[in-house]
Amino acid sequence: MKFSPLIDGLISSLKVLPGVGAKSAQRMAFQLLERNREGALKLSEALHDAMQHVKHCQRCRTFTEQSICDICSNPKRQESGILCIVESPQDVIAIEQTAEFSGRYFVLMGHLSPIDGIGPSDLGLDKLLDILSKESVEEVILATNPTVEGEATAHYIAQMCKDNNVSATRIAHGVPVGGELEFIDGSTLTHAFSGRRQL
Amino acid sequence: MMSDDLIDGFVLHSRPYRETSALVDIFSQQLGKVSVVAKGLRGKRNPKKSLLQLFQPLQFQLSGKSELKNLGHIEIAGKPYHFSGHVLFSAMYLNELLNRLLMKEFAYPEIYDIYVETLNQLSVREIEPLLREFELGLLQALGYGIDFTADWQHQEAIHAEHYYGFVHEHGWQKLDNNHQHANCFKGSDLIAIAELNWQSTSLAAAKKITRMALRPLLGDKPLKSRELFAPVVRTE
Repeated sequence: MKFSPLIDGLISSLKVLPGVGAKSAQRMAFQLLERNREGALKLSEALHDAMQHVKHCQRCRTFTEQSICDICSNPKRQESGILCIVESPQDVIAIEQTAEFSGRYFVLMGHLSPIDGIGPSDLGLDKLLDILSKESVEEVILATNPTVEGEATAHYIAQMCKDNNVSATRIAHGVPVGGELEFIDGSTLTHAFSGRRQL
Repeated sequence: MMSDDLIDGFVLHSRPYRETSALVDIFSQQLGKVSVVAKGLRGKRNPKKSLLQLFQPLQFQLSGKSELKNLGHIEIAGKPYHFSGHVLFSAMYLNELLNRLLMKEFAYPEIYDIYVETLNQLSVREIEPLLREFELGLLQALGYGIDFTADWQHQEAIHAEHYYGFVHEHGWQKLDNNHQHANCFKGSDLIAIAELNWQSTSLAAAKKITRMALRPLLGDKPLKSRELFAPVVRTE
């Protein structure tokens, strides 16, 4: 059966959402039409506003509607002189939730992956170089993901830091809290052993 | 294909697919390059996640008849290679080359052996000669091998004191005098390359030659991993 053009348009537009196929898009469309028109209008407004106004922070490249995001414009965070490098804005949120880090961030929006066509110039590293040479950064924490690509990205940036006389550190990786050693995979355990420290 | 046969191989590349799955390109000894779907790979508690990493020797079980296979069981087949710095970038360069040059589902047992051997030696030997040997071996196995001992045009042996130009898919052509252009190599360097006798001049020549020989095979898109070896330049 074919729906009217407007409904068809709505269903196919909903399919842009991650994890939403034809069936779920249809369910969503009818749920909104039948029961929650107000919510749907709000959604369309929020979507429109966000898509129109959200851009990248000029300093750290995370998503924000301001030209410089809140974290970057906070003078206290600048004083600490620590810069944390992450792959995505979600990583910023994860680290912010720990309340453990009080410096500023730099969001790469990906990692070095030559086969996908992502090289140093696609990660905004020229901007990072700018920050390293102009601002007073004492330490760069490399918090890229513990994958081979994340590791390559970390090494590349560590080299940049070395050239600019900035100390670079890599986050530790090992056994998760509450985990049991017997269920942990070999390579994580290997990392945990090679990264052991004195008590 | 028998679904319970385990094949040996390495992950060349993987990219996210749907919500939690991944599309993985595998370079295997038995089947060559194959693309597989790893369902639920990126899920929270998937133990395969840490296994399906680059440079980890693995055994895979694949199923399905179409070009895109399903990934079944996987097992570790050896210690992972831990590379860092330029060695890691070089290893990524190998993967990019293989990913670009190999046909899908066509076994290249020789190239597989060269790949494993190169990974084995990456942390022990000097990188440059190793990469050149890999590229030359790759060209040879793909049917574009270069004969560094003979002048193709005149059907005679390369002479150390003469200069030669490279002709793609043919080989060497004697030049009348020492032309000062890019495609002009000294016979002694060519002989050194044939003997895998690596000195600064033969290495530099080999780099130029393998680039020239690989260029038509790679097409217009440049290799991204080469950028990893160059420092970032500021745009402003």
